[in-house]
Amino acid sequence: MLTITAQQFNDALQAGGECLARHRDLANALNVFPVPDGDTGTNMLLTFRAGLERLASPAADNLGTVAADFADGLFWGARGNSGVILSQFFKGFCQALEPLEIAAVSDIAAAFGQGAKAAYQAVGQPVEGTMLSVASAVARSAQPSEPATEDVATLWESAFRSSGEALALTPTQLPVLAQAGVVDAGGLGLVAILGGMWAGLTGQDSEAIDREVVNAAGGDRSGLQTLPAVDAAFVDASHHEAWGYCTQFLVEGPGLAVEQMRQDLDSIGQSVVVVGDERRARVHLHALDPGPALSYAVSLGGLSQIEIENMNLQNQEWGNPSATAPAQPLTVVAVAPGDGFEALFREAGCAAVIRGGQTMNPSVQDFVDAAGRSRGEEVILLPNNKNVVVAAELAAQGDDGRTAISVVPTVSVPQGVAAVLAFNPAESLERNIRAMETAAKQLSSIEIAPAVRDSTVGGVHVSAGQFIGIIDGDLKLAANDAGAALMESLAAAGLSPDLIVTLYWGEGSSQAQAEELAEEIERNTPGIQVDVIYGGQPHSPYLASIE
Amino acid sequence: MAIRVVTDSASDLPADLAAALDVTVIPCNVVIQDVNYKDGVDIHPDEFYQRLLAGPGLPTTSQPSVADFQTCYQGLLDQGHQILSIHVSGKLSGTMNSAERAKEALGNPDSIELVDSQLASLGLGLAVIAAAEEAAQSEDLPGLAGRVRAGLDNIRCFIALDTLEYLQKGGRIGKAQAFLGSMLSVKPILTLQDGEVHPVERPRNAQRALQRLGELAREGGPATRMGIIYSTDPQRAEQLKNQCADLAPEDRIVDARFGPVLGTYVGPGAVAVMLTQG
Repeated sequence: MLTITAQQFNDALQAGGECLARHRDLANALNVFPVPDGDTGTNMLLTFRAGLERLASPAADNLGTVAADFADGLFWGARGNSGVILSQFFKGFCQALEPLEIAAVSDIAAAFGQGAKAAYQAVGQPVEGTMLSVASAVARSAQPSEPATEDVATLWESAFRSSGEALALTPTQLPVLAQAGVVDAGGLGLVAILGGMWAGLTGQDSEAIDREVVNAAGGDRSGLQTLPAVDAAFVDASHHEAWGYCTQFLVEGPGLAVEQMRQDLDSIGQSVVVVGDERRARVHLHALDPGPALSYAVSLGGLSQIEIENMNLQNQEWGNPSATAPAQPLTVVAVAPGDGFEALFREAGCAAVIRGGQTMNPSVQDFVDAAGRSRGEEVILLPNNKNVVVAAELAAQGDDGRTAISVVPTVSVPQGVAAVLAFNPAESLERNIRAMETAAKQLSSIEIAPAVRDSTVGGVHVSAGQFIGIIDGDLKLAANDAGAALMESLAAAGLSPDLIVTLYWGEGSSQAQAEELAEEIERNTPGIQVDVIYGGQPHSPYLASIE
Repeated sequence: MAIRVVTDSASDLPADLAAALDVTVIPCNVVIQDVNYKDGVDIHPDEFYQRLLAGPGLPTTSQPSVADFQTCYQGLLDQGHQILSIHVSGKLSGTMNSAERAKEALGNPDSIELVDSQLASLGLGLAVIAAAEEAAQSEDLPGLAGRVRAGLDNIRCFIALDTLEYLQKGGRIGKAQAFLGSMLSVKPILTLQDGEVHPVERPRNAQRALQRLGELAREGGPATRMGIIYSTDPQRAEQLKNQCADLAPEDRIVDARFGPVLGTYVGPGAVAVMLTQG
């Protein structure tokens, strides 16, 4: 195989996507923090699929066209850090192929080099032991200065093997991986894509390749996640037909029959997704009337986190924005991980809110769309999660020319709340960005989340079933219940009478529990102000800020 | 011909200071449960805030009548004075309108100059004090009116509210609309710009609002005159004054209280600093 054609490249990309899909759960499970919100695999898959969806069918005649289309789709679909780095890798890779009708070994080797270079440029401070190290190993293996082969398949095989070796080495480069006993999730995603593409090029047995991918990841850990997570199925489902009411809720058992529920709900609504186990199941469906689905579910167990959105209204609003809101000189768009936060951000002055965050990272396109919906001539984005910042920044770079997009790189939801409170539509963009950045930095953010496996992170031993306390992004402690984890985290961050604590409760807590904790905080530190607010965030009973 | 300064009760100018400066203050009207009161004449702050909090319903306000202005102007003209009449922003109140009609009714004499301050409360009050001091030494009415208008840009107002409810229900919220919301308790800081209420910041509690008022006041540098004013909580005014005391000479700091007209819109717990700077 001396060259590859447009058709071959097209097929290889499809096979790469299929292989990534088979390893998505594995990548999700490779979470440094032992909490059930791993979504690296999902982010990479959704990003990659955005590229595949852009490919013409049947494939274009010209290799350059396939490459350009794929890279463009990937750019706009990029979500999460891993998705962004992946999109940049393929942007570099495809740029090298764009002038070509077919590609030889030297072209592919050069493309790997450009891909790795672009991936490094995508991140402000490159960290080894991540997808970047895997990409650079691939580039090194295919150096055009050492043309060990003229066969494209051989070159690709060596790239795939090198990627696997680099992946296995990631825990030696990044201590948090070693502590958590995992390899880098993003790196695994890239290995899976390269493996799939190799299989696609050569027509070999994908099962053998799957085994190699799993081995490079140190074995199959995808069963580790035991709590139901909002996953890509929700995203896929919610992007299809938009009519009636998008209805989501959590049912708590005991004795739920997930498969039976799926079948029963299929007769009630569309786009039905049920994930979970016999204790807890998360349900998503679209129905003209949300009532029957809720009545059905309440016969099975207790309901919580009920979210019902009128998609007809959304369509009106989104499809014809000029009919609903006049253009504003300056607007803010925030990412909100729950219905409470969505309401809070809207009330505090956000013209548009993107639902998502830790478990559903918005794509570059999501940001650009929301900026358009916000009707601002200038738009400030609040990503509110460290894994979402890069997609927002890419949206700002690649904005469509009609709106000028800026980013205040908030890395937590409480930071986003502080930033939006500092927003003043009567002031200039520059003054607002300064004020919002300052406000975001003036607080400490705390996140409490359930641990789903035993782990040691940053010297803290965590047992499955405990709750961990993350302060400003660092896992600091574990405790046996969520309330204790919160109280210990607040104490570790330091409380004094002149401070304000804002407590946002979500999945796994209640207004009453949160208020009880607030009273305890006020008893322990007389004079301190504690505000309790419903955030509705998944996976985390409490988010909090101290300012 | 000597110049006399006229203003309205939305200036919140303390009565003793107005008397000392020979300033005539025309009262605006406050209506509480269908009874009309003349601001500062029939009703004073203590009683007003008690009734504001007790309800039921919220007070409303109205500008002085054309006749009120005409009577006042005629009296001063009869005494042989020229008149410089400086009033609350025409975007917040119809007071300027009454003054204009009264001047017309008197045949638009050159001896009456009207100034829309684009300000309210002690911001207007500071402009009136400066005008009255100069009026005592000047007979050049157009010249003085010009200097007063030019000086309005140097007056800055920062007010912290406990709630935007009164401003909103009173229909004067303007661009501070953007700060409405009840999920998070905030103590909004507002200013006056182009004659309207403008949003500034949203501190999370009263203590931080006071601190920010002090810092915002300081951003404009030393003041030639400063006013500290409150609605119901004198301790907040005291604290704010301590923070800002070094910004202006002690004898040029005015302590005042939001009267019933302003109180209708700022509500309880409001505190503000107003300065002549630059």
